[in-house]
Amino acid sequence: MENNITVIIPIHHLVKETKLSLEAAINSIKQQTVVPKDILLVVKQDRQIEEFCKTLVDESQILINKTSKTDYASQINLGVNNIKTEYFTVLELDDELNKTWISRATQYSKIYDKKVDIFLPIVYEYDKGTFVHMMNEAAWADSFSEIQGFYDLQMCLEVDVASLNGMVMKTTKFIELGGLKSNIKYYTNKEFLLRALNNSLKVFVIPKVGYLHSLNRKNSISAEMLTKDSKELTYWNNITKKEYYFKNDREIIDYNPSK
Amino acid sequence: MEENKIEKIIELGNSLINKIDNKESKILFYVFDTKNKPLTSIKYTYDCVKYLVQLGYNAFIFHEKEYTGVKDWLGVEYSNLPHKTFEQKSLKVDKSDVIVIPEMAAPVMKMLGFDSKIPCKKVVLCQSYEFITELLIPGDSWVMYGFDEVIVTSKKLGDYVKTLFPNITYSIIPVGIDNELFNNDYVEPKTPNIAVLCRNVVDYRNFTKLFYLKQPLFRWITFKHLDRVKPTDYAKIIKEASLVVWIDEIAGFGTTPIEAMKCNTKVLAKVPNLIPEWALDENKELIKDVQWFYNNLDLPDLIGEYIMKFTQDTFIEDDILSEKYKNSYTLEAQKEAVKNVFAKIFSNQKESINKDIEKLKSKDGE
Repeated sequence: MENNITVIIPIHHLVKETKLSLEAAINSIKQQTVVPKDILLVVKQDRQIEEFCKTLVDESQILINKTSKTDYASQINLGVNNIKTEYFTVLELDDELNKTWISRATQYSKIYDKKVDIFLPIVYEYDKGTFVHMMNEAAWADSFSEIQGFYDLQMCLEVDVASLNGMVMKTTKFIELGGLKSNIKYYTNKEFLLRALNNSLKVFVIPKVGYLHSLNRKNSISAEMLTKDSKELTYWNNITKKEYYFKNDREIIDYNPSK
Repeated sequence: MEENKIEKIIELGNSLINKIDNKESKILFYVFDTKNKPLTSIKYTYDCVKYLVQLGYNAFIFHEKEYTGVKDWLGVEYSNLPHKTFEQKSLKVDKSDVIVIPEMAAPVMKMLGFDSKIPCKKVVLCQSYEFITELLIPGDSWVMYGFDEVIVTSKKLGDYVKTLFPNITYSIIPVGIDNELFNNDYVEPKTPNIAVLCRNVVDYRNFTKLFYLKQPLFRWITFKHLDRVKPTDYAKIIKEASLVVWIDEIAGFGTTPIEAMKCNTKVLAKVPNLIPEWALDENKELIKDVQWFYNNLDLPDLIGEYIMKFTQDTFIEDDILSEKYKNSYTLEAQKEAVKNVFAKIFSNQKESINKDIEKLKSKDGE
């Protein structure tokens, strides 16, 4: 089955554990029943990281981010702007793709070409190797949203059940929509999803497990969020609900506990 | 007997034979009023009448005066078939005509059986063994009411009927499945929805609740009950579903699993009390294309296992069941069976009338 998908892996830092994880992540791409057309590692300018990545993929599959903005959102935006395929997906360095995900995404993207802009998988979330819960499966529950299998804005504003991990999206649509916003410190993906839905993009959950997400890895955003007090997280969550109306990555005042 | 009278009777007999030969004899299929609720057994009856009309027979849907009809769920093709009511004063039957009464209408059989003004051929239509005794008076039998022939949907059911009424003869008209409704042209991939056909609605409610309790990981799974659903909606649900659960212990045939397999939907089925032919392979063992179970309490785990495999993509779900079942139980086969069964019924009727004529002739000769 032919596909037109690039898997982007943003890499900000590498320690011993994450090197192993990255190897597993790349193996999960290579072992796909349908191998994606391309892989792109977006790497912070760091000689050690670059050298290690060269042991895993072809040099042409490594994009060095020479800017000072090397956060998750900026790395992905840079990656998407440098790929040549019609679709892309993002794989975090400590996660894995289920071996049929690219095949399923290809199959569904051909069938739903005009009807769907973003394909999401069912995500399995793990904490230290233990299965915790699923994400995105609720889109298939009866009467959850207007159309079974699709997310709608109202539902995503009310309930936190969506995960963009493993998202397969048209490259041009992502750029048109403005990409991810690096000024949104937490819940970046959520803001993007709300913005997509607000712009009438169709977001569909393929009823297949496509992404194995590792929660709370050291130095990860989810681990960092665990250290934050709930007021700060609520602040950032509320920010997403204000910012999704805007395409631009507007300046945001950082959380100030005294206010 | 007076010569003239005998001659008249012989003449009448010959006119009856002419009626049969010209397909003018009436065939009346009795149906209940489902009050707009879709019911497979009623569609089957309508299909029989539809084919008989297409074959040039004088067939009718036969019902009580108060009758809602089937227009809302079967459409005009069926509602426009010829209908007759019990109360129609002009309705008269003779020995060349046939009345077909469903198994559950034992009181109607009794009424017709004891009415000497109804000299026609009386046939039972039996689609479920459970309803044979539902309204039958203890100690009575169909044969006692003058019904010595039965149409069944499977050989298994016919054999069972023979154990109850040894003097009855049976013919089989299998259920026909519309390949236009149940085909593999559905391009959209299967949803995780589960279609369920449960004869007993209480069973359906119980097992779905049990499933959500025992499989909390899959509380998002949507079940869709197929009972009393319009044929087009029914087909859509089966095509979209990734799994069909079939619980109908008393079925005489059971089309749902075959319909599902025709459109590549997996089937989890409870073994029925009378296992129909389609469910057995050449070694008389349950076919492997269906996953069978015996106890409703096992269902939550079986469905859970299935959903796990479906979502994780750990089995090949796209195998081509549809190709294997494409030619099974088609409408054409049903139509052919209808044609053969009624050709045989009328041939027997003619033989019986001829015998009567011959008897009279020999008496006349004496």
